[in-house]
Order: sequence, then structure tokens, then C-alpha cells
Amino acid sequence: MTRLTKTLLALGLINGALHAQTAVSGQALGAAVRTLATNLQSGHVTLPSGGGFVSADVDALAAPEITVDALTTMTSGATDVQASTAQSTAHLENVNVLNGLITAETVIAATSSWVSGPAGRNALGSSFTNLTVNGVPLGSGDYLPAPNTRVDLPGVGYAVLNEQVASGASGITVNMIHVVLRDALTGLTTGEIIVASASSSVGN
Amino acid sequence: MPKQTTFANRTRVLAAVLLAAACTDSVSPARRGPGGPQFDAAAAPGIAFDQANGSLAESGTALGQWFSPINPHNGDAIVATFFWRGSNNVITSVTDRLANGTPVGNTYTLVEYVQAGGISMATYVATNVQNFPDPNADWSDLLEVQARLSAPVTDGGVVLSAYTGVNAVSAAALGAHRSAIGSSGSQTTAGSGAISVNAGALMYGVTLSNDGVAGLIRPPGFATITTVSDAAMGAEGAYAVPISAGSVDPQWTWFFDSPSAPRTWLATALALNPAAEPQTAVATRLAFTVQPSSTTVGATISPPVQVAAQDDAGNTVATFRGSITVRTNPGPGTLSGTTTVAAVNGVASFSDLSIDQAGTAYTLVATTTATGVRGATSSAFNITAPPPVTAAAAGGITLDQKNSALFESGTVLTKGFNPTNPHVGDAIIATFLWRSSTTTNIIDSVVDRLSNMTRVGNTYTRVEFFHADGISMATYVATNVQNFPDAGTDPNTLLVVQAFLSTSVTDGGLVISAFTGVHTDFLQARGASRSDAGSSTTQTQTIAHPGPITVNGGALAYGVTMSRPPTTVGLSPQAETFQHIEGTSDTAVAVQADFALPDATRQVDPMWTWFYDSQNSGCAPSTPCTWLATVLALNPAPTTGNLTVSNTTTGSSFPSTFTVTVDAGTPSATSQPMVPNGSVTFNGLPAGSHSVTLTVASNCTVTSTNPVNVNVPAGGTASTSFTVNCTTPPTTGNLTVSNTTTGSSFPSTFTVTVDAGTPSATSQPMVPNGSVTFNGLPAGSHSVTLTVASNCTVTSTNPVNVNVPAGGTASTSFTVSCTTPPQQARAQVTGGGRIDPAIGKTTFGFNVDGRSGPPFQGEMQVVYHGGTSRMTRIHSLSIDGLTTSSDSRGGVCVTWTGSARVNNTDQRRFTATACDNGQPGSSPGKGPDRFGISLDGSISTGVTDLTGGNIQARP
Repeated sequence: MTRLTKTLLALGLINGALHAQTAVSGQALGAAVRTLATNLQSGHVTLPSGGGFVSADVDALAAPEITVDALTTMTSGATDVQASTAQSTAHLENVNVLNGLITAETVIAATSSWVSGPAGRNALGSSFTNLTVNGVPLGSGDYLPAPNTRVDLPGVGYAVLNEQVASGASGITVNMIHVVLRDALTGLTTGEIIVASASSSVGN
Repeated sequence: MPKQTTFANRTRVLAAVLLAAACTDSVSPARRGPGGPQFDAAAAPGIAFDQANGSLAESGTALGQWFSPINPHNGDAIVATFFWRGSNNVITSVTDRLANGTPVGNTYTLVEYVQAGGISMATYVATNVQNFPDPNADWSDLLEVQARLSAPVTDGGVVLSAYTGVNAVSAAALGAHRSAIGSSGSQTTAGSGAISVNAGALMYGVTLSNDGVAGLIRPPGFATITTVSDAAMGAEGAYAVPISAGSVDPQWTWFFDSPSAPRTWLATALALNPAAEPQTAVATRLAFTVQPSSTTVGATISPPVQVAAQDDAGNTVATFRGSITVRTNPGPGTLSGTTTVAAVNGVASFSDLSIDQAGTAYTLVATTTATGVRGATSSAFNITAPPPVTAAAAGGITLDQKNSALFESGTVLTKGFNPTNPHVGDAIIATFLWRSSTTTNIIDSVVDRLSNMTRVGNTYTRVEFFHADGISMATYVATNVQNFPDAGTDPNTLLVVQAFLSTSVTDGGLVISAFTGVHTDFLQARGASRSDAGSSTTQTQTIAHPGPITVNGGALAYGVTMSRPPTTVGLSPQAETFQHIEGTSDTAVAVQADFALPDATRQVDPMWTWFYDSQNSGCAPSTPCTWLATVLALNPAPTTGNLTVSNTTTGSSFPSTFTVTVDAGTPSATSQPMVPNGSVTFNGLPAGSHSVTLTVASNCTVTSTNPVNVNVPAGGTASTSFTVNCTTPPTTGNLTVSNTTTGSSFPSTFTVTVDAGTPSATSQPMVPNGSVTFNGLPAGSHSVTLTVASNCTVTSTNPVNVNVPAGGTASTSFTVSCTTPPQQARAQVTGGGRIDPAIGKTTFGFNVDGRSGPPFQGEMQVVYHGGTSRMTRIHSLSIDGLTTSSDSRGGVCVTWTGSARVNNTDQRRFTATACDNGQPGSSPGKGPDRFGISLDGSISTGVTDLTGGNIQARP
């Protein structure tokens, strides 16, 4: 697991009993790049532990590794004796990763976590629109690949689409596009690119 | 034997005496009175002579004379013997009145009438005369006795005499009386015949003849009352008071000298008994013997009220010496004066009573502390408000003193005032007349001196001179005469006026009269004047008049006429308002002066009738009868003055005028505008003190005393000045706005806005039931708007216009009613996720807290794609409404409204609804949560099932 992934997963919850009116957490990220040449995060929002709502708008993101026309990230949550909930979304428009290696008209990452008696989580609402990888369209219109779908990117590394990482009883992170850059000769990881990430968790 | 004098001789002797007196003590012979009865009973203590006077040469339908200069006493008996040429008793009534015309009302009873030889004589008696001033204040109060005639007479007169001590009851007073006649061409004895006279009674006798020049000797033992004569008749009255009873036969000696034409004499004698001796009388009651007369507020009740102590029979008990007190009952006024008086001879006289308030039916109640004497109540009388003061009443001209002389000769014509000097400040009119063929005025100078020869030095200016047919008349006037004892009666210092002539005359004289109230400046006093002359060559009545002049209201019109030969003179009807000053005559000339005081400016032309139809006038073509007449006007002393008011004003922003008011708050208040640093003059103000008030504009202050009292001098100008300071008035003012707020849930403040919607709008917060003040607002009208919270209502007019005064503070107030607002939803709702409505996939997130507000805490973000268009972002800016409702799926919906930023640019209203139907997948039967948003007029997602995410509502 990469460090960036660990960071994101650190927001997650460990397994165990959860109770209502417990702390909530959530994050959303439009895009994050860490390479030798680039280190950025765009539209990163973090939910206060007591809940609330945080959002960010970025009109345009342009980096060597990625361009996005616009993105909005949101995370919200509430604690209550009856139920505590957290949910995050990242909504990106016209995404181009690694000079067209991966493109999509929209990318939405959405997670939801709750504790209301039983705890729960999901990533419903996440999707791609007109996703292409390696110049090949994956699906048509709105498309959601199966969680943690790996697609090789020749000479670059690979990408995990709809990457979902659960944590605790209700924690969940979804990275709609997670590109791992590798040196073609050595196979060593040289960088990461995450596009449209949402995390939420109740408890922990 | 008493000295015999003819009337002509007596006149000359008298003139000589007068001239001698003028040269020595200037005193004319004293008023004719008793030199002391020469009868053996002259010293009888009961009856005493009091006053007398006489006249002759009267004509017309009335004969009369007044006592002069002093009235008799109330209670006297008056004997009046009237004479006239005629053979019938033409007297229809005899009455008395005051010289000013006020009727008196005593009863005169005819005692004797006798006639012979074309002459008649009637004697009347009135006892216990009352109701006249005792003593008189001035000439106007003198008592006059007058006989009214049924036919006019051409010559007549009267001898008046008054006596104290005569029995007050007429029937008891009148004793024996009789008359007789006779004729003779030479010396003869005239007498009525003997009558019985009681001890102490008055013996009165009178004789008349138709010889005006015959000498006469009074009865032995009698005292002369008065002697009168004219060209046609002569008469004399005499009296005695015998100490014991007996028969008395008064006999005169007439020295007729007309053998060819015997003269006729008439004689009458009568007795008047003295008052009864009251030795045994006992007073049992009081009685008002002189009832109080109606008068004005504050004026002395006149004649003096008299209260007598009487016995049961109504006789005055002269021995009563007790004090008698009077009081008013009823009436609102207070009786002032000496209200308790000790009785003298049984009578208390209250001479200075007055009442200070008007009222009707006042009565006086008389009481005494003497035992057994009942009180008395007077008849009713009225006290009226005083008449308005007129100029004439306040300061009008009045005749002060007068005198006359004739038959003077030489180069000096002179006469003194006697027995009383005029007042200092008077105007003296001196008319000199003389016989001379010189047609010019031969008077070199007119001077005055005291009887002790001390020169006085007043200036006499000739006003008129006229000459005709051997007679001349010149009238001189001196105003504001000074330097002599004011109203003095010392024979050594009486004021004498004399003219020095350039040519000696054989016959001349003068009439002098002094008037009070004439203007002190001769040039101001002098009015119009003119003279004229005329003559008659037949024995007919002739009107003499100088011609008309204009006389100012309140001024003195002085008229004088002289005639040669002397004859009677009467005023014509046109000049009825003229009053007699003085008249005198000698054998050659006669003069009469009169005066009038017209109350308004008018033409005055006094007319006298010279009765040249007298058989002795001798008017003929060869010897015409000539008259001269002069009239002149003297203006009164001013009673008003002027007042000049000025001001000294400093500072700035002077008003155009101030206002000066004299006597503010009184009916006579008068005002004039006065410019700053200017002055105004009020003319014609009554002399005396006046208040002067200066009224100034609000930006000015009178820094000197205001009002101020100023004394305005008569005929002069007073002045006063005010100091004023003015400042520039402010152009701004203040406005205090307050509110009265009722109800509940008061907001912390309201907002007051002045001139809302204008560039100069200004606002201040104002707490409920508080006030705020806007300072320095431009003076004028301002709109005031009160803005209140939604749970409050302004119940008064809002906005309201208020006029802010310059330099002042306006105020206005609003009334506000507040109510507790409806409970807002207290829900909290949090959520995020995705929906996929028809307009495109939409992600959202929010957290709205409805527990306080509005505005409510919270935030919302919505992103959606409309077709292929780029994403639209909706980000809430404020949330001002929030409600909750139930979702049809069993959950709770929260709807909130507010404003939002759309794509970072547009300000839009939104309404969002989030419905919590449970946790995703954990609430079977409720279905998914829902969310929807609408933007005004454009976008609406509808409330759509979530395709991702979660909503948590906490109602």
C-alpha cells in the first residue's frame, strides 16, 4: 500500500463495535499527484470530527500529469444519539490523466458511512462518464467498474479504477482512479496519481 | 345824620375809593355787608346777617343774582326783593339754583308785592335753605336766586340777603309785614309803616324809587344790605335785629330833585322770627335733614349730609352734643370720609363722605351712642361710575379771579384782584376802555405790580384795540403770570394790573380776569381775535358783536363789549353758552366781559344786546349810541405730550422691524413698528406715566429694561431708548424620535431612518421604548421611517413627516406592537450524496442547523450536469427559512430556503428539501432518502431519490 493510500486509509475505521453519536470523519479529494516532478493535492476537504459540512470548488486543474476542467469536493457528517453519518463526494469534469491515457467526462466518487444501531458504508453514486483507458472506452455513458478494477498502463504502470478500501465498521474510501507509476526498467514505483477520492467513517 | 349821597355821586365816590385803593392797597370796597347794626338791638345773638348781593339793569323774562363770592349757610333764611319797571306782578316763580345751572329746590314764598309809578317790588322769603355747597368751592357753586317772569321787562334787579338764626319753619318765621308807596319831587321820607317785631327777630326793610340818581339815607339803626341803581331806578335793602319786642318803622330819606316830575318810592318791611329756644327739648331720634345725594364713585357727597337729633315732634334739639355715626346699608362700596361727627347745635354735618364703588339704592344709616336716641336711615341714592375724563375736565380752562373798574381818570388805568389773587401760571386778560377822541391806542404800557407797589414784571401783549366815535377799547393778555402770592389774600400783596397812557383821559377803566388752564406760552395760547364797532342813532335795541372767529375745542373764547352811553346789556341767544365775567358802568360808559369754553372747534361770535331803547339812552343822529366789541381765543394748556422711542441694536441678522407698544395691556395700548437703530414717536399721549414695551424677534434680546415707564410731559416730548442684541438664527435643528412598544419578543433595536431614499438619509438604532436624537438636521421637513423586525408592526403613521425648527428640537414618536414569532423548525439536517434527476446527475452535500435563526447556520453545495453542458455549482450563501414536514415514506423532510451563488456569479434564491427515510438499506419499507433543489424560475431537480450518499435529519 502506498503512503498516499495509507494516508487516505488512515481516515478509515478499524473494525469493532460502534455507537451512535460517535465521532465522524470524512475527506474528499479532487486529485492528488506525487511524482518526482509534481506533488499536489486539489480540492482536498476534511470533515471536522463533530460533523458539519466542508466543500471545495476548483475551477481548473492543470498539471503535467493531469488536467481537470472543474471539480467540487464535499464532505458532511453529523453525530446524534439516534444515528451518526458521514458522506463525501468528489465530482470532477473532463478529466485527462497522463495526456489522455485515461479520460472521462465526469468522475464522481461518493462514500457514505453511518451508525444507527448497526454500522454501514457504501460507495453508491460513484461513477464515470465516458471513461477511456489507453484510448479504449470502458463502458458507455455512466459506468462504474467493479471495485478495485486494475488496468495496466503499459510503460507507465497501472491504474486501479473504483478502488475501494474499507476500514472499521463503517469506514470506506473510494478512489475512482488510482494510477501507480512504475519505472519500466526497475519496476519500482515512481509516483501516484489519485483522481476523485471520497472517504467517510463514523467512529474511530 | 348819615351822609347823603346821590347814586351818581355815590358812583363817583366809589370810583374814587377804588382808585385810591388801587393806588394804596388795591382793594376794592369789601363785599357789602353789615357794618354792624346801628339799631339798639343790633347785638342780638340769635339772628345774624350772613351774605348779600344785588343787581339792577337786568332785562328779559328773568331777574336773578347769585351770592358772591361766598354762599350763605345751609339753614339760613333768604330774603329776595325783586324790582322791575312795570305795574303788574309778572313773577311766575322764584327758584334757586347753582351758578352752574344745578337746581337747588328751596321754596320762596311771596310776602309782599307793591307797585306804583310804573315800578314794582316783590319780596320773597325762603327759610331753612338747603342743598347747596356750604362753603362753595368756586364760583360755579354759588347760589343764585332767580325770578321767572310772565312777560319781559326792560329793567329790573334784585336785592338778596341771607340770615342765620331765623326760625326754620316758614310759618313760624314770618312775622308782620307791610308795604307803602309815595311820591315827591324833592326830599322825602319813605317807609312802609310800623310793624311789630319780636325780640331777636329780623327786621328787614327795602325801598325802591324810579329815580336812579336820587340820594338816599338808610333808616336810623339799620344796617345797609346793599344798594343798587341804574339810570331808571334805585333801591336799597337794610336790616336790624332788635333785642326786644316792639314796633319798628324803618324810614329812608329819598333826595328827589325833580319838582316838575315827582318821583315814586316804594317801601316794604317784614319781620322774621328767630329759631325757637330748645331749652326743654330732649332728643329721641335722629333724622337726615340733608339727604345724601347721588354722585360718582369716589366723589364727595354734596351737599354735605346732615343728621339732626330731634325730639318727638321733629324739632332739632340744639343742645344735643353727642357724636353721630353714619354707615352704608346696603351696597358694595366702602364709605370713606369722616363718618363720626359731633353734633353742633344738634346737627352733625358730614362734609367729606364718599363711596368707592358704583351701586344703586345705597342708604346711609345714622346712629348715636347717646342713650334713648333712635337711629335713622336715609333715602336711597346712587353711586355711579365716574364719567370718562375729558381734556376739559382733566385740564380745562376755568375762570379764576376777576374784577373791574370804571370812572378812572388821568394817565393810569388800574385795578387789582380782590380779595383773592389769581393762581400763578394763570393767563390774565385785561381789557382797558376809555373815552377819548384819539383814534389810536394811547396805552404806552401795561404792567402788573403788587398792592404794596412791588413790581411783578409779567408781560402783557396787546391783542385787540378798537376805537369808534370817542370810545376806545384795548385788550391785553399775559400768560403764565408769575411772581406774586398764589391765591394770596393779603391786602398788601394783591396783584394789580395797570395801563400807562400817553394822554390823560377823563373817564376810563378796565376789566381784568384770570383764567387757569391757558397755555403758558403766549404764542401758543393766542388764537384768533377780532373787534368791531357799531352805533345806533335811534333808541332801539342794538346787537353788538365783533364778528365770528374760530375757537379750538377746549379753548377760551373771551368776549367784551363796551358802550356809550351805559345801558343794560344782555347776551343774545346765539351766545347762550357764554358765561358772565364782569360788568360795570359809570355815567358815560358801560362794559361787560363774558367767556365761553366750546368743547369742540367752532365759530364763536358773541352777541350782546345793548338796550338803547331805554328812555335814558339819548341815542339820536346827533348823539349816536356807540358800541365796541372784541372777541379773542386763548388755547388751553396741552394735556398731551409726545414720546420718542429709539433703539441701539448690535449683532447680526437684524429683523426688519421691532414693535414698540405704549401702555400694553390697557385699552389705550398703541403700537408702532421701529426699525433697528431707528426711532419712532408717539404723538398726543396723555401727559403722565406710560409703560413702553419693545417686542423683538426671537433671535434678538432686549438687553435694557423692558418694559420701561416713561413720564410724558404735557406739551413736551419724553424719550427713551432700548438696547437690543441680535444673533444669526440657527439653520439646523434636532429631531428626537421615540417609540412606545407593546407586546412581546421585542427585538434588540429598531432602525430609525431620516430622509430614507435620499442622498442625505441617515439612520440610528433605537431600542424598544427608547429614543434617539438626530442632531444638526437642516431646518425644515424631514421624513422619518421606523424599520422594525418582522414580528413587530408600526401602528402609527410610518413614515411620518416632521418639521425640524431652526435652533430647536422637534420630536416624533412611533407606536410599535410586537408579537412572539411563530416557532421556527428546530431541525438539523446533514447529508451528501448523489441523485440523478432528469436534468442530470447531481451531487450534493449540506449541513443545516435550524436550532437558531433565522438566519440559520449551515451550508449547502450542489453540483449537477445539465446534459452535455458543464457542471453547475450551487453554493448557499445564507439560509433564512427552514421548515420540516413528514415524508410520505415515513421519514422527515426538511426544507430550507436561502440565497446561493451559482457558478460563482449569480445570486439566486433556492429552495432545497432533504428527506431522511433512514440509513441506506437499513430501513426497509421507507425507501431511500430524497433530495431536491430548485432555483427561482430556472432549475429544479425535484425531490429525487438518492443514488448515493445519505441524509440524516434531526427534527
